[in-house]
Formats: sequence, structure tokens, C-alpha cells
Amino acid sequence: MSDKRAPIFGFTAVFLILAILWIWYPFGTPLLFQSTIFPLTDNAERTQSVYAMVYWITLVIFLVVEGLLLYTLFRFRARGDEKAPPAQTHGHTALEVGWTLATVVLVLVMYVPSCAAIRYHQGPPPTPNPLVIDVTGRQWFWEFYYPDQDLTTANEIVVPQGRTVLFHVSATDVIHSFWFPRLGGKRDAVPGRTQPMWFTPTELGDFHGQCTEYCGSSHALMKMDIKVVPAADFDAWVAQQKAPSDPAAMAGFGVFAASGCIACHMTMQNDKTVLHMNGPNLMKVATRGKIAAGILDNTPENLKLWISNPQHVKPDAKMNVPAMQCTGPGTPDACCRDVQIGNCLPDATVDQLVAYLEMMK
Amino acid sequence: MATATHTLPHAHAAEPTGIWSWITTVDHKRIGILYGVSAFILFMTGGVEALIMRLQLAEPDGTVVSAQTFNALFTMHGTTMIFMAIMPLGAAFFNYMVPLMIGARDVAFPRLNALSYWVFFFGALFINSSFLFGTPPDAGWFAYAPLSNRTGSPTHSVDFWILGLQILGVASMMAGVNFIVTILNMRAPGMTLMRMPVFVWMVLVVQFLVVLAFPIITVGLVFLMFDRLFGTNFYIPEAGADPLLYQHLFWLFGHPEVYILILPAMGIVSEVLPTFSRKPLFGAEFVIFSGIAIGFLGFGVWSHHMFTTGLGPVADISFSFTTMMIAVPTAVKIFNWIATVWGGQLRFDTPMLFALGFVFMFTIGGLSGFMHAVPAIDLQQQDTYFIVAHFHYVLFGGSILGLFGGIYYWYPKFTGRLMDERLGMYHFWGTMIGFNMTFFPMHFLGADGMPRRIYTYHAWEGWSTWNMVATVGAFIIASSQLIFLYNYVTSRVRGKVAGNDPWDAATLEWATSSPPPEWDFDRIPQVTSSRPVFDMKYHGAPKPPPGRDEGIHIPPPSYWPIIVGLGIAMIFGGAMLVPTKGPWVSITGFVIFVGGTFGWVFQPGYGYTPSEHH
Repeated sequence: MSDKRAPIFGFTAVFLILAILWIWYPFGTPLLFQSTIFPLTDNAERTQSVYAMVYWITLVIFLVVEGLLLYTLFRFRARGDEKAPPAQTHGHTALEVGWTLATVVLVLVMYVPSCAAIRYHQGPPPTPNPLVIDVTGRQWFWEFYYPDQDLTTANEIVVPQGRTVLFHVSATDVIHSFWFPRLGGKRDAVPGRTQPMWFTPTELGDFHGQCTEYCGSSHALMKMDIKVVPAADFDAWVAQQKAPSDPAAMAGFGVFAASGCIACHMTMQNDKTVLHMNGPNLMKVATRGKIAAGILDNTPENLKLWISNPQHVKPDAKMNVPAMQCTGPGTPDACCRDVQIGNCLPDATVDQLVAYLEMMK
Repeated sequence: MATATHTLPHAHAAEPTGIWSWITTVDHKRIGILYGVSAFILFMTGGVEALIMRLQLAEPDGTVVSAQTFNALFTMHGTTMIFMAIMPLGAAFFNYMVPLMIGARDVAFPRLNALSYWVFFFGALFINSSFLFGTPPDAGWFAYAPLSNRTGSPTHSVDFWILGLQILGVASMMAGVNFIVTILNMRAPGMTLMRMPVFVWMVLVVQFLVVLAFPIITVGLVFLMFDRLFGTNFYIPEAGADPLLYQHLFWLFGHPEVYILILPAMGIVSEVLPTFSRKPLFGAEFVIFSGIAIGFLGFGVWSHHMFTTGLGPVADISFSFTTMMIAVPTAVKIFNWIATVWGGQLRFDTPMLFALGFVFMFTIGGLSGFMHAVPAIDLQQQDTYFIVAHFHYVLFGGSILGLFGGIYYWYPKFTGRLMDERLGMYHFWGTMIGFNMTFFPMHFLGADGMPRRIYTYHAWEGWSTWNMVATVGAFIIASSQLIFLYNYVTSRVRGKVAGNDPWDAATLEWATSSPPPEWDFDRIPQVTSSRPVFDMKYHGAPKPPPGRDEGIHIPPPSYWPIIVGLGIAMIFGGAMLVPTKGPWVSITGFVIFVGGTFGWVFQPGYGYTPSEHH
């Protein structure tokens, strides 16, 4: 009777679709900005080699075990004319010992290269004299500090091609996780701890990363970028970042300070004395491609949007003007009734701030 | 149809009905139903939370809910499904089935059993009431410190979560002790431990896990509560604490918890597969010892949740080894299930479909789990949708499918009627298709670098297609559950009358009537093998003589459990008001608790003899 076999066909269809997808993925999936299976560094390559082995072994296990199950269902389905129960087998010790040992062996086959990868990833960086970058996760942006260059920046790092980068990952408020999927596995940023991780970028380009430990309201909007550039360009970038700002920019500093921005942001310095301010360092903000931790392109329009209403762009963003803005005579805006929303700055002030920040390069 | 109005055997005219009879019941079967109904309501609540999340993520830049709401939704979805849906659905089966399967008249402590239900009830009510106050928990279902500290979560949101879990923990601990004592002491004559049904074995293992694991999370949560309410510094990094302590305590509980969720389903599958193959479970003792091994190993693998936190190579190598070793007893179980089906006469009734679905889907969850047992791979997969895919394959494809199998399998025992096969089939295939559509693409999303717990993403990230597929799948799952609900309700009236043993099964619960009388068995059966009912049918084992045992005692109904339960919930729930409003709610709760306990102690508990009425 065909209806007796219908469930078997159903299971077989599910099995085939999943198996095809499983086989398809490594060959057919497009390259995305945060794909983990198109590695670009020594660190990520090593992960990928272990992953590829485990991926195909588990696929074979899937095909064999589920295939066997399906075959069993097909072969032993009730035909409806059975007179008595089937043979009542209670077990088979040799079979039990056999498949237990087989599983142990299969596990060990995958365990040994896995241990080697642990030693590799958590060992010292493969090249001497790596470029050190201190990473600090914050709600909700990334602060970066290059100790050898004495350079503080935020949300965007520039590194030279072919030189190992050694990150010291930490956090100051809650736990975050530092991850550039194409360049290597993640490392949690835990307050009170500083943890190493390294990779050697080999390909030029701009790559994306993202916080991967839930860290509160705007966890989804805590992104970052890494630019891999030729070694010479890296030196030029450092020189540019270290250079003093355009003296003409000083004209706008007054409004930047008077609006309260100065309480959390630095525009005059980016050395180690200004580490761990409440907000990201803005001394060279105009040289960055994105603002607000990798979520908006760095254009005057977006800067204006971001400054006038940060919580609209990024829920619960901690950028609020100090209360003084809302206390004096001639209170600028109705938004002062709810100090959690908006910066309550007059439009003209915001325009001046944007103009000021545009000169930070 | 004549059968529709057929009087069920053992329709006990004397058995009380009405709401009061349910509030005061100490009958393990009724408590089982209370657990099951509550858990299913909460399962649907968690499901709705999931659907809203899937709507938000269906397309890039979704605007269905705000970031804050989304964060509360995934926190409460996880908390609800784990602590208030899957655990109590398991408890429904422990309560209803264990005494029947071991040939007992009730659990060892019937009133304590009622108390654990009511404590669970108030705990679930308490934690979900946070929605009404506008401060639902939003720190994730594992609420890592320091995000869950007072500075990270200043409102009462996390207080609801901590105290709610403490209340639910009290319920689980009491049930754990109760079932360990019941299983060890109340088996029918002749039922040695190795003749015990595998489901009961898995329940026993689960209860030991509960009793050993819940104190750990209790300590972890008490520390967190003290940090939040009374200014201690257990997890405050500024004061020199290491917030990883919280993670260790949480996962030292959290991983055994995973087995608390999956072992009952494994037990159900170990009952269903033999019945519908008409064979005994292949290598039953290996399946049992594998379950025990999983229980033991479960306490030694917690740090695999923490490979990215930087524990160092020695810890990673050790925990990766113990984690991979769990694959061995798990694989042994799967092989034994296949060997059980091998050589049988397979009938594909709904319970069997769900049991096979369990084996099928759980295997996938096991294999993806093996991938991130390798720390190098885990560093890429941790906290991405790959992990979300993995644990839904074990908790939905595993636990939930197994538990549904159990509902279809034992429904005739609960109600005396069978559920509709055709609707059951629709439910199964709808769930199976929807489930794979929702969760298989999440493997790809994770490998494409989509982190979990993000409330939005952008089109340029390239995650849109699979997210849309997943959302469509989620709605297919949800509609299939409505078919189940309809089937469950209507079959109580319209279902085919089942008789005592509709599936031609082997274990003791099928020896009594459907539904069983209040005292479970007219005569406590003598057990001579692991398949007493099969032996009576096919091997000429003696059947119990007609009539009823003399001197059956049934514990009387009691309203003290609900009062004591309310007191316990108020003691805990009131704690969050202590720093601001004073300890008055807790003190009131304590007075109710003490008063209720006095009333309880002085209420005669030795029981009454049911009247002869048939």
C-alpha cells in the first residue's frame, strides 16, 4: 500500500534537501562581508583547514547514519499481514562495543588536529615584532590604541599588509566580543582582563567586523572596520594621524566646548593621555569612512543626523548634552523635557559642529 | 457514531470536578495535566515572542519593534522556552507517567508534588508579570554580568529574571527530590532497577541533574542579586572581581540543564520506537548507561560555552575533549535506536513519526555541536546564528519533537481516546518542514557572519534571503501547532475510544484503564521482566486477578500547597523591593509561608480509602 510508505518518502525528501544544501554551501554560497569560510589571514586559514575536515566528516556521518535509518524504515515497514511479533532481539554486545569504539576513534581523528589548532591560535604570534593594538570594547563603539605609535582612534583601524597584528582585547563597561570574521576567530572583551589575539593580514582591502557578545540595547550597531594597506601607506597614515589639526579648525572649538561635547570627546589630542574618555576620540574623525561605530557613512548629512538625534540612530546611545543646555534662559527645544532623547541643540549649533568635525583631518 | 458517546471504562462518578478540585488536587495525574497545560500556554507565549522576532528580522532594517523590545523578546523567549515550557512539559510526563510506569499509586510525597507545581505556577506568573510593569528582562537568557549588574541594567528587569528563576528553581528542586524518592522506593514488586522502563531511568538521571545543578545557579544568582540589591561586589570588575566567575557558575549549571531538557525526550523515544517496531529496545542497558554517562559528563563540559573568553590552551584542550566525548554515549543511543527499528514491523502512527523525527533532527544537532566542540571552529561560530541553529536542532528538533511524540503516545492514557491520525500527520509534517526551513538556513547565516541577538541588519550585509526563508518557516511551525491544539481539544470528545492498550505496548502503564482510576491500579501488578504487559499478552505471564486490592489509601486533597507556594513566591518576589520600599512584601510572604506550613503539618495526610462505586 502506497500510503504506508508516504512517511518514508517524506523523510527521504527532507534528508535529500538537507544533504544537498550541506554539500552546496561551501561551493555555492556568495562571498559576503562577514563570511567566515573565505579566510584571509594565517589565523583564519588554520581555522578553515580544521573546519573543512570536520565539515566533510560530519557530512559523511550524516549521510551514513540518516541513510541507514531511512533504509531501515523502508525495509522493515509493516506490510499489514504479519501474524506474530518479529524476532525479539534484545541486543548484541559485540555490536555495542564495536560502534562505541568506532565513535571513539572518529572523535580522536578530529580531536588531534583540533588540539594542534588550539596551540597555534593561542601560542605566540608567528612573526617577531608584531604591530600591537589595544582594543577596548565600549557601549557601543570600539576604542583602539597603538602603543608603539602612541595613537588613539576609534571604530576603524589601519594595519600594514603582511605584518602580524597582535591585539590586546579588553573592555571597560560590559562584555563585548571582538571579531573580524574574514580575518580570524573572535575574542571576548572582558572588563578587568586583557587577552591577546593575533592574525597576519595578507590581502589589501577594507573588511568588516562586529561585536558578537550581547552588550545591551545597541549591540547590533557596534560595528568596526579594518583597512589593510601597503606598509608605506600605513606609515603615511600614522604620520597623518599624529599631525596637529588644521589651525583654522580652532575657530570651531568654542562651540564644540560650549555644547558640552568636550566632556566626552577629544579633538586636540590622540595620545595615551586621552584613553578611555566616555566617547570615541574625534581628533581625526574626518579621515574615517564611517561614523557612529561603522553604521553611517561619514558625510555631513549623516553627521548632522547623528549629532541632532543620536538615540534615533542608535537606541540608548550615551551621547546626551549636559543638563546645562536645558536649564538656562531661552531653552532651545522642547526635547529638553525628555533628556534621554536628542541632544537639544539648535540647528545652527549642529551645523557649526558638523563644520568643525569636517575639519578634523 | 456509537463510539462517540460510548461510556469510558472507569468513568469515575465519585471523582470530584470543578476548579476547586484542581486547585486542591494532590493526584499526580492531575498535577501532570496542570503542568502540561501551563507549559503549553507558556510554549505558545514563547512562540509568539519568536514570531515577533522573526517578523523584525524578515527584512533588513526591520521596524516592527524597537531595539529594547527585541532584546526583551529574545531574553524572554529563551527563558520561557527553557524554564517554563520544555522543563515543565517534561515534568508533566514525569508526574503523569512515572507512577503508572513503575506500578505505584502516586508519587512519594503527593502534597509536595502539588507544592512544586504551585511554586512553578507563581514563578512563571511573576517573571511574565514583568511585561505588565514595562520592564521585561532584557539581558539575554544567561544575563552575563556586568551587563546584568545594577549599572548595566538599572531597572527591575533583571530583578524579575533573577528572582523568577530562583522561584522556578525551588519548584524544580522539590520535584527532583520527590521523583528520586518515588523511583527508588515505590516500584511495583519485582521491578528491579534494570527492569525499569528506559523513560523512568532517564527521569531518574534528570532528577539527579536537577538536584545537583540547580544549587549552582542558585549560588550564581544569589551573588548577582546581592550585587544588584545590596551593593556587594561578586561580579563588579571595578571592585576587582572577575565577571567570568558568573559565566562559570552559570554554565556549570547551564550545561547539565541542556541534558535536563533532552534526556526526558530521549526516554520517550526509547519507549515509542520499540512499541511501534514491536520489538524490545535494542541494548537497553547500553542506552541506560549512556544516559547516565551523559549525565556525568554533562558536569564536565561547561567551559565549551566560554572558548572565546580566553581561558587558555590547557582549559580549551580539556573541555574540548570532554565535550567531544559526549558524542560517544550520544552516538551509542542513536545506533541503538536504529538497531531497535531494524528487523521490526514498523507502524508509522503519529507518535512514531515524532520519535523518528527526533532521531533524524537530533543527529543533525549533534553533528553541528561537534563542530563547535573544536575550539578553533567555535571561535568563528560562537554567538552567531550557527549556534542558534545548533541548539534549536537539539532543543526543538530534539526535546520538543520528542515531547510531542510523548503527547500523542500517551494521550489515550490521559483521556481514554486517541488523537486524530490525519491531523497528527499534518501537525508532524508542518512542524518538520517549518522547522527545517527556519533553522537549517541559520547555519548558513552564522557561517556568513551574522551575530545572534542583533535586532537589525542592513541589506548590504547579504543576510536578507535566508532570514526571509527562516521567517516563513517560523510561521509554518506556528500554524502547525494550531492544528495540534485543535486535535488535542477535539479528540477528547471525538477521538476513537482507545481501550487500555491501543498501541500494543509493553510497559506497565498500559495494564491499567485509560484514563486510570485515581488509585492508578486496581491491583498492584507483579513484575517479572522489563516488558510486563508484552509478556502478559504474548508469553502467557499471569495477569492480575479481577477485583481490587484491599486498603487502598489515597491522599486527601489539600489547599495548603497553593498557599505555601504563594508564600514562597512572595518571599522571593518581594526581595527586589527591599532596597527601595522595604521588606514588607517578603515578610508578608514569610508569614503566609509559615502559616501555610503549620496548616499543612496539622492536616491529616495519611489518606482515605476510595469508595466502591463500580
